[in-house]
Amino acid sequence: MSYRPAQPAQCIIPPYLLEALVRNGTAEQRDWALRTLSLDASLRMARVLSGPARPPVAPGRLTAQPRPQPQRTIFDAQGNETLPGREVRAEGGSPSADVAVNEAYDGLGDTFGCYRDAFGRDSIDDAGMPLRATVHFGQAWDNAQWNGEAMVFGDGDGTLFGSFTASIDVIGHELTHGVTQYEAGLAYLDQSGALNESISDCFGSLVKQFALGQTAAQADWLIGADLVLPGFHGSALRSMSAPGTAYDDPVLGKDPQPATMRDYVSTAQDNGGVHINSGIPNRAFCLVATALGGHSWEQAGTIWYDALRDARVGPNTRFAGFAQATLRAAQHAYGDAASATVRSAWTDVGVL
Amino acid sequence: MSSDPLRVTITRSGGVAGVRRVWSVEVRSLSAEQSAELRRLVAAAEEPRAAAGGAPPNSSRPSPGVPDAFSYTMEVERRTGHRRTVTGPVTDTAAPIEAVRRLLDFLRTYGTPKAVG
Repeated sequence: MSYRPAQPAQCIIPPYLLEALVRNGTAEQRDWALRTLSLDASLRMARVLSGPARPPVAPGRLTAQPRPQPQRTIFDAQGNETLPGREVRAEGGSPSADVAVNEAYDGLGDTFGCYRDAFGRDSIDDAGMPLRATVHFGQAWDNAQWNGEAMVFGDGDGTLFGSFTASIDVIGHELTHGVTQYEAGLAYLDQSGALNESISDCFGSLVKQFALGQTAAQADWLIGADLVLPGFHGSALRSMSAPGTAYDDPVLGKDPQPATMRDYVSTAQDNGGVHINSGIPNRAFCLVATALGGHSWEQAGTIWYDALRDARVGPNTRFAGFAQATLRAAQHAYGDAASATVRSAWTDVGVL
Repeated sequence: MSSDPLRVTITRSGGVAGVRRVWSVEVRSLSAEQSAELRRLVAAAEEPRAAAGGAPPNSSRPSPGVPDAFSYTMEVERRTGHRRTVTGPVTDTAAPIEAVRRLLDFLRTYGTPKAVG
């Protein structure tokens, strides 16, 4: 069995796995892992010195460090609206008889694992932030929310929406609001808000794809497909590959998301249509991921992650500014062909 | 002084689902006691700071919201014409605006969900 990647410079095998190979692998695997660790450290240092991603990179990234582990705590609001509620499962604790508790626990773990293994990030703040979540918040509360400190999940209205713990991409979506809060800090209004929403959809989908081991071609590119009930006329809350087609419901109306800037929606509702116009950058990301192929987190995800950490991306960044950041990130990490692919996608959706 | 409401509608947008939900109640469908309760709730929700989502009213540009919090728009139709009151985002998990929440609870109990146009 070979452990040599086709393109060592783009190796995404995390350092802790390489270190395990050094410790436990065959002689050939040890040699390869040592060479890759050395190269990986050089590349990471080079990116720190010349790349667009915002510093600081934790010093531990360049040396052997213990593998970061999630510190999860799940609480139960028991239908009330008082946070955090009663603690029902701590890190390493036995599964609960309550499905929502386990879904929240696993979803937090999957999100933590995706960010750690694909992007080298240590939790929401990249500094090991403990992850806390409350389930069964309120009565028929049809929402999930990152409140700046913790996750909160409702049980849904029971007609259109079930428990919001059921969709791993929604859990990834919400926790990514925390990541954005600690990185670009995109203001939740108008285009920067739609970009904030889109970032959460992109990484929410990546968390799901990562957990399922799916390629871009295998992914459904849907958000919230697992929490809608039979009473909901549609397949999901949003479609990243075909914005505007996720539902057509007698109560909710038709999915209002545009796929291109030509159909951009100007509205005062929903903080300036943040959940509507996010369809445009969502589609750009989907186009890039499917064009580059393979696992979306390996190239497309890395490009978007680096762009989110680009020092020139800040609270008031609009679609075009973020598109430029993705071009810089693609060029820096993967060269001309990837950069051209990214430009083509943003052009297709009318941003560039 | 404004006249009694004929119809009260609350539209909710936002949330991670990003879908709009609409609840509405016709005053003529209510008992005298329920109508009095509705008038009291509407008056409380129309109080300037509540109507502005806890923020000073009449700001020229809305403030950025909280990710995936709900936002509410209340519309009160009166005999003297329409009056629209816009509320800001309501962060259900942190600082609910009690007056709006109570009115919404009333509409959910006595009103009907309406299709989004």
